[in-house]
Amino acid sequence: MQPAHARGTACEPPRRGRLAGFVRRHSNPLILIALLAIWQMLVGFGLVHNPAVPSPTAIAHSLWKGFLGPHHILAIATAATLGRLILGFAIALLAASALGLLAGRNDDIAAALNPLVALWIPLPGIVTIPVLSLWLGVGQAVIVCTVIFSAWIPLYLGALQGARSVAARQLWVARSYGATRWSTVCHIIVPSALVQMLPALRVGMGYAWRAVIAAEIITQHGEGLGVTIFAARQFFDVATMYAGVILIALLGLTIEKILFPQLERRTLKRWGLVV
Amino acid sequence: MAGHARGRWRPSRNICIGAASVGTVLLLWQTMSSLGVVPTVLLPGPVTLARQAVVLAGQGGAVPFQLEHDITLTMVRLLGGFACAVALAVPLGVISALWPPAGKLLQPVFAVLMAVPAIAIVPILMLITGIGNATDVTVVIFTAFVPIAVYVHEGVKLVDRRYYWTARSFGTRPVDVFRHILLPGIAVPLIAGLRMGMGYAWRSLIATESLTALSGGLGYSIFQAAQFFDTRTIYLYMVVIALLGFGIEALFRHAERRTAIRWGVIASGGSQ
Amino acid sequence: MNARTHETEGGLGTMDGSVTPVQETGLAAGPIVVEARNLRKVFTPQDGNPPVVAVEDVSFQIRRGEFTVLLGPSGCGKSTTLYMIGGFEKVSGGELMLHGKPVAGPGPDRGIVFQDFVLFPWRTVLGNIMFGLEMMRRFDRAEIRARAEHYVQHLGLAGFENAYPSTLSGGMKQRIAIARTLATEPEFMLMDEPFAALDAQTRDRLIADLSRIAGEQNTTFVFVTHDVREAIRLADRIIVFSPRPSRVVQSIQVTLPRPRDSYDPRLLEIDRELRSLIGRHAPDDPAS
Repeated sequence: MQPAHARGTACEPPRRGRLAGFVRRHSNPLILIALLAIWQMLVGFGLVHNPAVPSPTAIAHSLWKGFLGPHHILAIATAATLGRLILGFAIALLAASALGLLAGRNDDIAAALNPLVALWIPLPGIVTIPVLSLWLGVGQAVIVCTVIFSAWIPLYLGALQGARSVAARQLWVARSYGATRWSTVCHIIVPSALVQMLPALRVGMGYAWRAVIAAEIITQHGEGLGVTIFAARQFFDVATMYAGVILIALLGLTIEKILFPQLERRTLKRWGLVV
Repeated sequence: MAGHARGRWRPSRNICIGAASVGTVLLLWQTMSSLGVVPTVLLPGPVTLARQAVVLAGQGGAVPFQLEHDITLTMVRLLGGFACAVALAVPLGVISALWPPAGKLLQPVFAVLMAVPAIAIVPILMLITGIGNATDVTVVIFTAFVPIAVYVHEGVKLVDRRYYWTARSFGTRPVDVFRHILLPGIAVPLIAGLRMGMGYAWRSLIATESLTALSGGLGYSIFQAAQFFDTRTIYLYMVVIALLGFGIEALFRHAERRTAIRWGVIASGGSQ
Repeated sequence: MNARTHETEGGLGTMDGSVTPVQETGLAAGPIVVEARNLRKVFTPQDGNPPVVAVEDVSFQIRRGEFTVLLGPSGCGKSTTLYMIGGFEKVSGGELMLHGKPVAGPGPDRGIVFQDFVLFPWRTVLGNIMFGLEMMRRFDRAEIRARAEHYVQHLGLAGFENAYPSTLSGGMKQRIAIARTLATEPEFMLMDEPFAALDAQTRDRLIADLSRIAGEQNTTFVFVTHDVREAIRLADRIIVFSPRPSRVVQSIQVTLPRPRDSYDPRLLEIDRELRSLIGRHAPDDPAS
């Protein structure tokens, strides 16, 4: 433990305090804006004229058109991608949690599943796509299944760990009240496992997100952000490609930095379960 | 955690059950396949796969020694790109931690790069670097770079400044401070970052190969096999990819054993 | 033989701490090697919080060969003073002279030992002890090893040379830290509450060991602590600090012969006096 020495210098605080403070606090978005401005200037003044590098304004235009334009291509694509993501994730969550809870309460099952899980972990989800296309043909199912196969491992491990870490004393309390096995599961084990599961959910969602985009790009089936990006390539519509990438990044960030912290706040933090 | 009722440490029993379950699965698999319960076209048995491995390792594939060829190509792309990523990310991570202005400048850049799944970049990249090795290697560099840089950055920041004080109080030269304090001090977070970067790079490379590789590679071949309904190759390559990934992870686990565990240091810095 | 001597200007209880030592029989006071005059240290946090005055106005002298203890309540700036002597923190005001010249920065003449050891986890016990010797680049490999092994024996670490520090107890870790610094045979040993993180028995043993070692070396020890007993058992001179922002309250010389017994009535007398001294200047706020 370090002694409480403030990291200080012997210099005075800056006189232009307010502006400097503002810049310092908001340096991240300001730097991004500055970089965008530089990019715009480089392309706008013709210093960079690679056909594969559009200007930020062209990208913004594509984004606008994609959502509010005639065919709403980006809006539809986003909805399609999110739909597949949610469906695949939900199925993975249900299956993996059930399995994980079971394995968590029964060491033999856990030991039996362990090597299979260990061999599965290093398998990238997209590697299952060829097999899935063989079994399921061409269609949404392939993409959804890829999401399931990519996301299930962290979810399983989270459920496993969560089920294992149920405090013994809570179980004793339940038993002393004569609770049945089923109600013990419902009222004690599952909520207790939630503590472990929320971080696992976050990781699993990250995997699922990457999987759905990858699957869309590889299979190029139906609608979807990945599909749109790849399709735009055929038409050299570079601006739309970049727009798609930005959307993907924004959605990913929203899930990671907004959705999950909110979820955590409303559940774990409110219940005082923050680890 | 209070009251750990489960997950007791019972290694020998666990290993037995584990081995038994793997064995059972293999046995069931082979039986189903031999008996034709599931058509071998859809799900070839393990023996068939083993035979296919031999075939592909020899002259039987699309290319002579296809299996070796693919493995080598993929690994070369992976390791080559990864080396470049390390060469870029480590110095940048160190500098951005030691020189705050650089750190502030790079922080949003890293955040943006991390938010973009590499595969989404590939179509754009293909327009710039074309189809072929350049795109694959670029993807590896792109995906591996950020986790390594970020972990190195955090690692440098977490080195207790009193280590530097101690070193300087012995009259240590700056180059020795770098070699004997900074580098070992960041070894554990560095390995964690390398592990993460390698994980991302591996997955992204396989995906990218399926889209771009002209001349082979594991990702390329497995999707090619799908075109020709060559199920044996598909499954075989799945196994090979999983095993390679497992091997890479094992290497990192070994590195972790010899550093973090031996030194009693956790990846988030600081010692116990 | 007098047990101790008071030196202040204006008697007990004044805040002005300059001292002129009195020559006692049997005590050969060496020349002044460290002199602080109106020493001041201000920390300016970078996040816009107001500056913190850690050390207000501290003056004292340290003589060669004396075991000097900086004593005071927790958080009162005595560690900061030690770090200024070591050259790790810059002086904000006043003067801090080392052999008549201002302190310029850290150096091999001043070795440091911290409360939480700050050992290098990636090096073995022997590796840690050899570190300073290696970095000084003055000796060859064989000589370094020989010296390190000597201090391994001297600090009771035999048999643990190839262990990694994280596997060892707090007491062992502190021995390693002390050995590491002692091995370079610095002119000064600066020790920042080195035994505060240890349990009572280990602390007791280490105090006895340190007392013995200090007697055998030519090194000048500067030792920071808030523990009055510890101070009396080890010190030739105790410089008492007030709470933050600190000033020197008083400087007391302890001339009891070593080894010192905790239950020696003379020791207890000094103990009582020191506690009343500290108590008088400690504010009621427990957070200080």
